[in-house]
Amino acid sequence: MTARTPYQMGCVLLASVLAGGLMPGEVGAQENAKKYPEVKSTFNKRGDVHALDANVPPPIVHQIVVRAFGELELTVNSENKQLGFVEGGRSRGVAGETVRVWVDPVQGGNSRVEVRNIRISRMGLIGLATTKDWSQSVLEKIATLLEAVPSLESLRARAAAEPDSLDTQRELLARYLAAGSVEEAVRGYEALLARHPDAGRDRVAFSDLLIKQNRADAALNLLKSAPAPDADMKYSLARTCVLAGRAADAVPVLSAMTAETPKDLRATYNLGRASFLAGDAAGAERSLSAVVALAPDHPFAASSKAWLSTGTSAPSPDAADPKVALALGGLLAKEGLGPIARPYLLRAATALPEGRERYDALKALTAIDLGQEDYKSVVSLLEPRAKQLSTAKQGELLHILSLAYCGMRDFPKAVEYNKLAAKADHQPAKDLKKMLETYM
Amino acid sequence: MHFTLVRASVLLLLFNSCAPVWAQDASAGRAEVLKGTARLVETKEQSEAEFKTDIIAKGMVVVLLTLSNPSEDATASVRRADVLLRTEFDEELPALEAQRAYDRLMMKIGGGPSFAEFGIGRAIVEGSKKKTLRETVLRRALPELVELGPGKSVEAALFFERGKHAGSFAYSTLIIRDVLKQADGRSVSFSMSLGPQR
Repeated sequence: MTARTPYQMGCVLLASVLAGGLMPGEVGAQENAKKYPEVKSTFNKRGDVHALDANVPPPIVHQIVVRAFGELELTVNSENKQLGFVEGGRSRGVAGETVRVWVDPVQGGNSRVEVRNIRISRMGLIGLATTKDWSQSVLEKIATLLEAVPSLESLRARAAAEPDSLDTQRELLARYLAAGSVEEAVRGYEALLARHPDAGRDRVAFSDLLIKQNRADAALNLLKSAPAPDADMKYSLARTCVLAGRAADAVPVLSAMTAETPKDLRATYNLGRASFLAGDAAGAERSLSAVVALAPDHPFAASSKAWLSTGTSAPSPDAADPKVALALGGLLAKEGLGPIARPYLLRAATALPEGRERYDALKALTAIDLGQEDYKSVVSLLEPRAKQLSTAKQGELLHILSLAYCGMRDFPKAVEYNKLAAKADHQPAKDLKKMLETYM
Repeated sequence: MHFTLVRASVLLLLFNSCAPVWAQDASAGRAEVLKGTARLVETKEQSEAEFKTDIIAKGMVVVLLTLSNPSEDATASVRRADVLLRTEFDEELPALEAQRAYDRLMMKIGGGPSFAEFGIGRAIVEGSKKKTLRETVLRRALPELVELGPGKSVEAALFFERGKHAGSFAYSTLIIRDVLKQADGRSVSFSMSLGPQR
């Protein structure tokens, strides 16, 4: 094959672009298959869209939309799981298409999917003629993939018919959780563990769910009743004790682990942290110092030093010096112990004077609440301070407030605070701005 | 491209050209059914050497995994959805679908140049990038389901979103849950540390 000059390559590309534009097959095929007529979206800014209704919850539809993009070889450029928004498309340099999909919750835990196709051309009408409207193909693919998603009733029937299949039970549990049916998920986990007491992964997942529901006793009893617990199960029990605010109960569990394997760094560090939180100054000092000596370059060593720098044991949140409360809350939050970090951060956020440290406390605190989808707490913390935050150019906190309103699907408020965040030069707020406009 | 089921023999053919001697810092894991090694790719240089592209700048890290089934009679099944990375502070990161990693590395639609002439240039760059990513990211990614017959092995890449994790992942553990041993239908979990853990 002879090599082409750049000029020849340009001509070949141009010819292929033109040929694409003149090819009627693609357009014709689309015209014949318009199963989803154009409708006006309930959100004015989206304009005319193609839509379908799905009788499964938005989180599942969102996954299906992403899969549909992949199967159609469309690139996903950005997505927002909280809002149920996916944007992507196809590009060929001189022309392309941007496809936007919105998955909105509707009554009864169901979803509505809206699609809008935007054609892009850098070559005027010639380029435009080569573009395609993906709306029909995307919705058809979503519909096909949704057909393969079993209904809740059939999942229940299968789970009842196949009680020994862990996969089937887990699929039903995942559906309950996606739909927010926590009580049904609790009953499902109880049934699963009654049948499969050795399923450690499910036992830990159930215990995490119970902790989120503030059912600490049930969570701890569940882990304590694990048959033949391995190291991971014992470790989960210790961690759950700490999360439940009962660090003293974690100490004997971790002590036994370190007695068995004295060089187990993870257990030693966790023993030091649990002792610190339980008020056992000597025990904390002993274990945390051992970690530093055992592995001075490990992140556990840096954390051990950080714990010890705040004191010898954790004071109660109400009595803590606000600066110490901020340091402790920050450490606990960083290590994924949000529920027990919260009271310390709240103390810091309310007792520290206006300024950077108070804002740091508010950031850590509201990040925990956002992670727990506790949007009302974020709003009650930040909205009364909104004017002050705007004056102080605290774009990140204003953006968090906007995200909380997104979670509550109060879009006018979300837009209002996001604008203030963008004005304070917070880049993620600028990125969200365009997306949020389509929710008006 | 979505994989649904790929036999280990096919994977062996695909990955035969990869050097089987992994970095010496890789640590080994062992379970009833499988043995393997895991090597972390978390710097720009490592990523460019392995994938000809900077995956790290796009907020991801990669684990290069080798698994072999030393059994003489049992087949083992591994699902990508059952693989996760657990950080030293117990944050659990699921392995991304290969397509999601590919999407993150692709150019943004509509972000192209304003003039057609440059658009043609972009089309060429984009085409070449697609080709590279298909060969490196999609082809090397661990399939959704791998069945490892007796004596078979697999080498594949796992992609993880960095999330809010600051610092190195060298203190993290790769966990493969519910590896199904088909001879008796039992499943076992398998974990490998990615660095100098104790």
